[in-house]
Amino acid sequence: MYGGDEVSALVIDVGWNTCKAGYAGEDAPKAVFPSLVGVIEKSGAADGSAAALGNGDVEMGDAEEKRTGNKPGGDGNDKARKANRKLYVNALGFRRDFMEVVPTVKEGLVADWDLVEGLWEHAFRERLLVDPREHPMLLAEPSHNTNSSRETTVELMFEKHQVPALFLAKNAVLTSFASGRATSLVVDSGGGSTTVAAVHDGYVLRKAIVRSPIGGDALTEAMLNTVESMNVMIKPRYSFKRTEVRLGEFRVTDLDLPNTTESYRRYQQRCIAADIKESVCRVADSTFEEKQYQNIPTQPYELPDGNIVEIGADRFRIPEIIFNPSILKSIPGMEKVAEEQGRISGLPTMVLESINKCDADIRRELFSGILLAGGNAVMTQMKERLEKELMEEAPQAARVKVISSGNNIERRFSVWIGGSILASLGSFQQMWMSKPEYEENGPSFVHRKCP
Amino acid sequence: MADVKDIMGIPKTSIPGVGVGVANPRIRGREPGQKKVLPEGISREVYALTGGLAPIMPSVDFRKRRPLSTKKVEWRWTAFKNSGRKDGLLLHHWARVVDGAVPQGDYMFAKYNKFVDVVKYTDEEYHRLLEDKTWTKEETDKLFEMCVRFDLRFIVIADKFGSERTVEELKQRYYSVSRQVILARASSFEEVKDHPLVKEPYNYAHEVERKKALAMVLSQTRKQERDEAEVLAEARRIAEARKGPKAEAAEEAKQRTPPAGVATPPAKGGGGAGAAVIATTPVGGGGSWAEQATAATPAGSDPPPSSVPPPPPPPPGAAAPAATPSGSSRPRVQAAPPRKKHDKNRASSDHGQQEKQPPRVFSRGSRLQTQLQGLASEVGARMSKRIDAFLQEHGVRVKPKCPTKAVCAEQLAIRRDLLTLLNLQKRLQLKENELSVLSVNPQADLHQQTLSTPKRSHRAVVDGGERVATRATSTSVVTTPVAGSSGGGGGGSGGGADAEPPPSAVVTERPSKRSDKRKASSRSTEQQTSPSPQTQPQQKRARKMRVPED
Repeated sequence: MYGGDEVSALVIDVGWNTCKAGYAGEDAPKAVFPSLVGVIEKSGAADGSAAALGNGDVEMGDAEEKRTGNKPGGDGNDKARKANRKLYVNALGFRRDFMEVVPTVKEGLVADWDLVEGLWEHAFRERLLVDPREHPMLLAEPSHNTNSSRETTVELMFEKHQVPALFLAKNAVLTSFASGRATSLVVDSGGGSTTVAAVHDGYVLRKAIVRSPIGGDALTEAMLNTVESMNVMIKPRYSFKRTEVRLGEFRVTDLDLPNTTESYRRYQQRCIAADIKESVCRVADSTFEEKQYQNIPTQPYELPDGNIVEIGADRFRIPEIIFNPSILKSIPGMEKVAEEQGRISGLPTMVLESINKCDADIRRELFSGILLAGGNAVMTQMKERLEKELMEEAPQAARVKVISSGNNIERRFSVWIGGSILASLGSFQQMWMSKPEYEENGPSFVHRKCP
Repeated sequence: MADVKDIMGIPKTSIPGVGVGVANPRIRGREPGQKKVLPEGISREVYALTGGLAPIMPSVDFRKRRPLSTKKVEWRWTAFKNSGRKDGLLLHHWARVVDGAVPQGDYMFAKYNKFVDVVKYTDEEYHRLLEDKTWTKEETDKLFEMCVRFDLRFIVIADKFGSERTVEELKQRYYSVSRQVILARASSFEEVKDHPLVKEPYNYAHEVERKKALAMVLSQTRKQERDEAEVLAEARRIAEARKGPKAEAAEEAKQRTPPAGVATPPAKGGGGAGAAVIATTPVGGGGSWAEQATAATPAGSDPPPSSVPPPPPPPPGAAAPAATPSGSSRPRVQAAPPRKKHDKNRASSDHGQQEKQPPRVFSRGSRLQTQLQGLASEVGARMSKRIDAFLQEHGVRVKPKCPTKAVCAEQLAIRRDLLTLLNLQKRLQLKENELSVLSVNPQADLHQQTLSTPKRSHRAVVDGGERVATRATSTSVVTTPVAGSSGGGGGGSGGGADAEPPPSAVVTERPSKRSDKRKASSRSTEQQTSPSPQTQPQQKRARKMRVPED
């Protein structure tokens, strides 16, 4: 790389669904693991170190016990309470009694700092096998991140992990850099939500950020509800045992595990539903209409317990939620969601709204550089449909072009890849916020250094 | 392969009995016994890798031995300083170390660290020069600090600025402050004259307008554009429908007045467009006054070709639908300048037209030309020349100076009368000739008409008096509507008809009928003047007849 200079920086991107971590300069993250953490709240033992669990804890390959350490600046009560929690990062494959599944990130922002800590530790010690004291750290943050959240991140990193240098970059900017542009409109459709943000000359325009709670997870919920409404029980994998009675013939016996938490069960069901979604769903070529898709041939999907479920028009109805959220009303079980969220706009509307909030001078450039990124963007035909919808709605004076990488890996990890590119540029090395600077100026210095 | 087999000891050919070492003559196309030619220095196997052919370009001169480098090169994970950083953070990277000498000098990428030259003012300068009602000192300071931080990216600055300031306001403040400071600091005006900030001051109002217009253009949704396009198409369709029955007249007019690159049919859309027309007439009127002024130069000589600039093109953008009716009226007006005609009374003619028939805008001057041309083509070049000559003889201007309604009417009338006069003169001549012929030979066949219908031949045989009589009767029926017809030359011709003896009235019918046709009016008269076509060919034939006789 001509503009590159590797200083062995690390890039970490904590998303709703997965956490990505790796070395700068590489083209894909080395460590990708779920951001959802298993938490067991234990009552009693103050230090919570060796509390035995009911059914004998077997250490699986990736399973890991984490104990929360001292949180800098945390008050006494919190410390006591938190010391009773055990975190299981990347260990949700194994069922544990009383283990709750807690999301780390809510609405794009960090909800629980301990969980984030847990994720980082896991990434450093277990996956990347690095000592954070030796590596500058580039963290990807949501485009609408709050100031207090940033300061907390900075504090944690410098105090606890003693990193030599740090930088916080916004997701939208990184995606933009990953495709080689300084100005673009980034549509990031991830697990938890969808964010449309305008990037101009490498800076996010905060006033033009438009968000929607519809993300990959909403679609998975919809799929789960749809399948259940077809009277097919999605049995989580832990809840049954499948034995081969005769050659090719299987018998399923249900296991009774009363101490499994509801959230865990639901999580496991969603895993299966997500797999169904990723296998069979595709975006319709034009606005979804019931009549058109009534007689469409169904596609079969085999559930883990051997049952086969046939998905027909729902294949197209579910991704349609992104473009037309009012369709939520027609999906059984999702009406409450539709009401709760109030007015949700479809994706093309969000794009137009965001562009119209920007200065008139840059609108044309934004129209011709719309980037599609995120895990949800991997869905088939998403790009073509978005382009088609936008060309209808956009003014004739502007040329609409939706760009997304052809490679699925690149689409999913575009934020991380952008970070990798940024941290390995020679001219970026002057922009790090270093430890001496932090010590001199305090955490609020981050707002100056990392705009 | 041959080599491999050689090594392995397998016979080269599969023919048993043929031993190893028998060179297959077909391989390499050489005669057995010929020594293999090998360049020196490389082994046989290596040579064979290239296919046994010499390379086109020698990549490396393999004969010479290159001396091995005596320096020790290694790569070391070294710390480096970056002059772009002020805090002395030491980062590490791989550096190429030669003979233990670590590369010196500044960080390679530090030279790309560029800054914008933002003016820095002192407090005292601020209080002296830069006080402003709408901007506090803190805000101004903050603005300048952000300008440095963001390298004058005003859109980003506006996004991050605390209070709701628009991009234009920020730019205005920045540029005005910078300009004042530069001017104040310069000892003379000359040395900063060429400074870009001084040369071109920021135009706040213009920028605001421009942005508004741009936003309007860009925020038009497809639906609105579709609606607009629909409205335009609808207007065009209405225009076409209205134009339909007068299509012929319009077509002829169009052919004679080549539109100046504008192809839209000259029609207005509906009564609602009347207001738009009135609104545009002042503009068009202004244009025409200009034309008039330039044409005040001596009349009688053709005005210079490009004296009149066409009226300004219709305003673009959202005003398009409203302006379309007026826009379509402009093409007609634009057709005028190439013809170098004046249209002083266009406004009045418009109103006059509007009351009576579907409104059509036209310029009288050019229309007069059309009519004259029509007349000329009808009567023939020779005849029209004679008319023109006659007029000039008597001091009448061929091209009227001010083509008002009355003037045009008189022009047409006089020409028609002249035509009548000349025709009558011709007929008189003819009759005298006939008389002379008959006086010599009473049985002579005067009119050899082989092509006419029986009716006509019957009428032809009858002497002139009867013919005149029949025409006279038909005339009386026709003259009244002709006199009553609205607009242009009708009135004049009606008056002319009364003054002249009946035969001339017949003649006046013809041109009046034709001019009526060209007018956007009096469809009715066409039907009534239908008997007269019969007279036309009659006279034409008579003229034709005369040629051989003469």
